[in-house]
Amino acid sequence: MTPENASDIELLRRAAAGDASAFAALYRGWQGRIYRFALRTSSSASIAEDVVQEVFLALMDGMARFDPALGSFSGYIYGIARNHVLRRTIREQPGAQVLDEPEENEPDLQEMNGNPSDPLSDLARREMVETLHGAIASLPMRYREVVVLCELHEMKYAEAGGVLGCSEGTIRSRLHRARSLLLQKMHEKVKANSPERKIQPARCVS
Amino acid sequence: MKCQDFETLIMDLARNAMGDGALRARAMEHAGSCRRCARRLNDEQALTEVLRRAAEDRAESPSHLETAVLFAFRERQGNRPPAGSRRRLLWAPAWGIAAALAVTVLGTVLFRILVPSQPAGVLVEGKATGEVLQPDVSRADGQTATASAVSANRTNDEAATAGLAAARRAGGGSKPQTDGPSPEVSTDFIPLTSGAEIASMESGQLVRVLLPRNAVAAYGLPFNRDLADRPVAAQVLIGQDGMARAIRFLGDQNGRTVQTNLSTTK
Repeated sequence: MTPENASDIELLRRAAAGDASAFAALYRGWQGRIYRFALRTSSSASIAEDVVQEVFLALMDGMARFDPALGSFSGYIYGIARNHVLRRTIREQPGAQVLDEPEENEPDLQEMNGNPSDPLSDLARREMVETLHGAIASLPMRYREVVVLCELHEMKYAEAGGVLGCSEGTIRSRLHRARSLLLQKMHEKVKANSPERKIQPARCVS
Repeated sequence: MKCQDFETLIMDLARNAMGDGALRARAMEHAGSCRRCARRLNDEQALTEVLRRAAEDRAESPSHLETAVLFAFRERQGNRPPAGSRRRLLWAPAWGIAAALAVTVLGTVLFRILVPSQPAGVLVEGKATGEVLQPDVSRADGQTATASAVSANRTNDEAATAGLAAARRAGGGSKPQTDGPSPEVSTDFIPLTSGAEIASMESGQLVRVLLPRNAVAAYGLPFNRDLADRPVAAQVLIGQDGMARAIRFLGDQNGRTVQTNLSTTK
């Protein structure tokens, strides 16, 4: 258990006993992370705001039942947030790619990698991040979640696995695929912005 | 090392997460001899860089949400029975049923004594025409009336009217929309402080909050126990000092967050 986690659990224990200042501290410590997680996975500020509220409302109901022996507080609170994001996204964005996309419909990694180039350096710093956010939003949910947790929230594979309910190996493989899809989408974006640019595929000789 | 092997390592290489130094050296040696893999690595490293920049984003939820969530926490604590009262709670339903029976019996007796009997034909006529008797008035209206009555019981201060009227206008009219299976909690604004405090507000915010459903019981409103596990949406009028001044229950947890600056005329 990390010191931060211990502190969260102590705050949770005090909040469960009715200490409003402990609950406020817990809120201030976590609202940003939960908001950004919900914002990046749902691509909707209004859903993210509602998810923050619903997570802390659920926490009020469940804080007395939380058992640190069964898992980390981080996994617990992200798990609640994830459930709310999925529920809201399915309800409000029925056309969104929430469900898993069949593997066979995805572009082949090697084929995709046949167009290597250096497009990212062509984008301004801010545009790059915006393009990235757009690319993340267009990923199927299972890849989006992994990118948000492992890359944007800098979680370890094991911790992300705890939130998403899958093994480290699965997280790793999804992240690998997700990054490939992100690169593909960013390549496409760069191509769309500069159609005159010709990208010469390189040949692999080894 | 072959390109296929390199591909399995490229993510860890780009993320600087490869623990095995020897393997890393072999991978880098391969990248030095394979133009395609070198470009792949370059792309992956560029992506890692952009992802790290994106991870520096520190967007936070709007500040009014904190007020709303802490308000919900205090509401919940206010509704929670004191510690050690579990035993009394076990008896509470039995006492409640007994009290309800007593009130029903007493009411029936009083009704028979005080109200002269009416010919049955009136009731039949009323049901047939739908004009004389209209028991099925709009539930939302009925509940608004209930809430107004509660509101009147909580404060008779006329000064509250201006502030609440402004809040109603900002919130989209005096009759909140109802949606879903919980119309029993649609109410008008209920003052939480004295009317003078509301009247003295120069500006405020309407904040949408989600509350545990049993919070409505604290205001003397009907409480649907079948939906007890679902939160209920409400709008809270927050003053400049961050204190909640009035609340109304919406019965629509799908509604969007409302944040409106009010300007009450003094």
